[in-house]
Amino acid sequence: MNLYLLRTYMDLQLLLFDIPNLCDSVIRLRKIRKTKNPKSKYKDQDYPAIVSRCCEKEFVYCVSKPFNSFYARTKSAKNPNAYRNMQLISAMNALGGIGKHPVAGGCNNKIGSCAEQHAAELLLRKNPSCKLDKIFFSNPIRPRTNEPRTFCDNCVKLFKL
Amino acid sequence: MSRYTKDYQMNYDIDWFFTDGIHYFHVASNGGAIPDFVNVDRNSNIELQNRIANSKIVTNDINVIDNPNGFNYSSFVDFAKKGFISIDKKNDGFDSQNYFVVAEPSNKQIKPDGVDDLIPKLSEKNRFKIHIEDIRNELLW
Repeated sequence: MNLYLLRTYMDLQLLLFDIPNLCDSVIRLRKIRKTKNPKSKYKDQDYPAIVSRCCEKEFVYCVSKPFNSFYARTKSAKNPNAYRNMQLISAMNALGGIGKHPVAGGCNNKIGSCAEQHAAELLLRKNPSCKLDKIFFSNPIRPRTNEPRTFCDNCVKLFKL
Repeated sequence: MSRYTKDYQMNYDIDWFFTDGIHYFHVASNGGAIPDFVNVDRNSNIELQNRIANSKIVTNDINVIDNPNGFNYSSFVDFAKKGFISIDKKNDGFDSQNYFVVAEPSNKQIKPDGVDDLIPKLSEKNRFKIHIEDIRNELLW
């Protein structure tokens, strides 16, 4: 299987088995929060702009075990505890630093705010020995509509996508 | 009064609303900027979201944009049934003001239930630049 087909195959697996469930769970959680306490000022009551799921490349073949993967949504990089993995932190610092725009320009997103980067952090907490370029990402998705999105420049550089 | 921070606007797909006095619009921010006349008070927008979530359906006669890719437009359809012209932001940058109608009531002048006292109103003073394409891809605004 050539690389393109392999990549498409892996995307398809994650898209079919994981992402619809992920979007459903985001929407369900939002509805529960609203129903339980309609006057809640809970700040997470809006849809996340984008969600992404990642796993180690080896796990992609375990279609029957989709739970080996991690997902996250876009969120602020201001929280000092958001990132703990030194490998990821040093790669982000090389780009320009967490919470800042990349030194080389080319991307409007602040480093550390993307869903992919938060998902990678979760994976690396479980398996610190995993290398950044060995992480596989499903295409990022907008949960409101299930529209696929593209990887941003920061993520392409960080994870060699 | 708290406002939506720029960080929050970039990270969330926020529902916001406005009226020009005749039509009532629901907008999905799609990670983009919210205009200042709406982003005066975040709590008032949350109150409006909650009120609309619990309001009644005013029409089932709606038009929805063609959907060849099978995206999930149920959120927009729900707002159209509640009397809003439901529009989405194009994915072309945080500050862009390009929108398109996803779902709308056939009678565009229908009035949603119980939002008049809270919904931000467009006036000459706070008029903002916005480009909205209607369902036939023609410029609506």
